[in-house]
Amino acid sequence: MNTPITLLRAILGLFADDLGFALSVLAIVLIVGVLACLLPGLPELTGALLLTGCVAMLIGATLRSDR
Amino acid sequence: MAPAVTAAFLASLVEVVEAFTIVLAVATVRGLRPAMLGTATALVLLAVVVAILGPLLDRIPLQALQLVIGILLLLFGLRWLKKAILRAAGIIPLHDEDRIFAAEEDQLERQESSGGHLDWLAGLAAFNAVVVEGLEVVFIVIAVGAGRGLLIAASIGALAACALVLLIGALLRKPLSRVPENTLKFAVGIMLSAFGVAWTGEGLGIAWPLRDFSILLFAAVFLSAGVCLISVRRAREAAGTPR
Repeated sequence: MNTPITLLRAILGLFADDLGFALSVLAIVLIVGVLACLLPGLPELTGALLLTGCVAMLIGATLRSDR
Repeated sequence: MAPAVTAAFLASLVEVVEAFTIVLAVATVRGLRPAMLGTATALVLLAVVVAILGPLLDRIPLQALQLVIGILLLLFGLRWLKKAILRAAGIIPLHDEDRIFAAEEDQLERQESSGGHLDWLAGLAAFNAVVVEGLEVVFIVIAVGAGRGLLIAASIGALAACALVLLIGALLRKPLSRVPENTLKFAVGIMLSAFGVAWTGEGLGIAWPLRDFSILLFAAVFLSAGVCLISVRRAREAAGTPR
């Protein structure tokens, strides 16, 4: 009976077991998406922002994580 | 093509090792029948998922596909990378196939003593493990292969990993605990995160100046960040300051 729910939780957990971290990554993508629309002639800037944003999220989440 | 095949192979290797541990525990406690039945049912379900998803992918515009898969790759890859860093730094325990095997055996034996329908429960355990790990393999193959004509190449990488694990597992008949899972997860986390940045960017209309070589640059950035983070977290642990 619980198998579908267990499976669904496991599948969702593949992408978002840390909801705050997942939302932060989505926020970065959203901001970069808006900037890419506003500044279509500056792919280096928006691209660099996407990369540094993701690395910054990784650094923040890794430094905050406890046992 | 090589990064996609390598990512699919390494990621699938880790996932198949994890599924193999549970299936082996089921086979050890209850015999081959429930283990094979659960595994076969799961593989049929996975085949159905692939058969449904495959044609759907062709109908989605490339840019939208890149954006959706890129975001999922970022979520998936960064999560793997973060956990691999924390494991390498000793913050969270390493994935231990021997311990997982023993825990699964213990659980199945307790279910036996409580008079449950053990064959059914054991088959369900094998089914769950193969579906969850198999879906990860399917996602990774689609993610690194779709949209660039590399689905078959990525699938071959994944199938090679399955064949390798099954071959070694059949010979050893014990959990493959000597596979350096965390190192593999660290490497795959880097590759998937790099693919994720590239695909998300392209999905957002960003034309990367170095084209596909950008992925290597992104991987180098994530690798540098990962190595530094392991050092920092290890130093903090040694100093006794978790934060």
